[in-house]
Amino acid sequence: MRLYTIQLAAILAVWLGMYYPGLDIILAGLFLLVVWGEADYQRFSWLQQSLITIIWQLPALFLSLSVLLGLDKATDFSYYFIFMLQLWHTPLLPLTTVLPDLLQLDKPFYYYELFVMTPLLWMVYFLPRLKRLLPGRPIN
Amino acid sequence: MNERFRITIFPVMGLLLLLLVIGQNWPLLTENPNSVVYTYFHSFVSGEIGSGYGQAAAGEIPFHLLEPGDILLGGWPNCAYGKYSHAGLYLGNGEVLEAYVDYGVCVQPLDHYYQYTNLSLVKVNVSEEIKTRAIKAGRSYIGQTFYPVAFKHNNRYYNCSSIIWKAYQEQGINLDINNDIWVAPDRFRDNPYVKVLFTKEM
Repeated sequence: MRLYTIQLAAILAVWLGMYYPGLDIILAGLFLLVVWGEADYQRFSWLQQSLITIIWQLPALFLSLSVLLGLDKATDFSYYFIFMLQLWHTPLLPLTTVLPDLLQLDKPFYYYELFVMTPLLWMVYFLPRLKRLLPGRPIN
Repeated sequence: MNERFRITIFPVMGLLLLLLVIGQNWPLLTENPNSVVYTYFHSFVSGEIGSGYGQAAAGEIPFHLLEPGDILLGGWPNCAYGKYSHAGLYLGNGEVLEAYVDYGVCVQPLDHYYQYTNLSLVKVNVSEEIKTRAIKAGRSYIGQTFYPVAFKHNNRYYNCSSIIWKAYQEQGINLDINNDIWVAPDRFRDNPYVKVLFTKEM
């Protein structure tokens, strides 16, 4: 629930941050730090943390797979799937705008990044755990 | 960064920014029935939230009336932000500058405008030189990020109508007389710089 609260509130805050150009980038960076902090703070087992991670990004996972596998085409609202995926990833979107505008297979680079963002967030959420596994650190 | 800070920072920032943006644009929300904020808010209350939907309508469309730099508007019934949900800048040679979430700012063929039930061809009454410069400006945004609710003055996010507004704004032509925070496609019809060449509406 904490991660959902953070994600949903960050969607609103980052979107409104776009009204003041530059603030959105700061908030996107802050979002990553907050996710990192959540993982660093919470002491769950591997299984618990994996489940939390999947449940937290379940909407993005569902939307990404629907678009990649073409399942969205079976509905009357196929265009809305990628639309909703982009809205879900609003907290990280500002970071894609500072990267070069490259086109790959007729699609802009940020389109592909939308599918990478969920694994990226998983990684950010798991890295503090790996950090704790380094020698000399207490393992719980 | 403690636990309480992490859980409260974004709700607090979101609320604060919401109050700031609403406060700065209060007249658009309450007093101007032509503003996209006002239109969207009232559509939302009546249950319409998207770009609408419909069946392609048959019929001839006089695309030959268009000159490079003119504007195409397309729309569906039930669109939440006006009669038209989409806008494109005509580039000439059957090409239109548009923006979509999966293509970003991009060039698309003209003929997909046949699909819309509502369609308008809009002439921009400025010199050929200004139109050429607007097209050049518009082409420079190709590949940039699409975001459906992009604020129009932000230079890193675009939607279909904000690219047109910005391309002309850079030439000193303001195609949004409401000075709204977003530009709805409908606004390109009611403007002193334009003349509607053709309209098809359901």
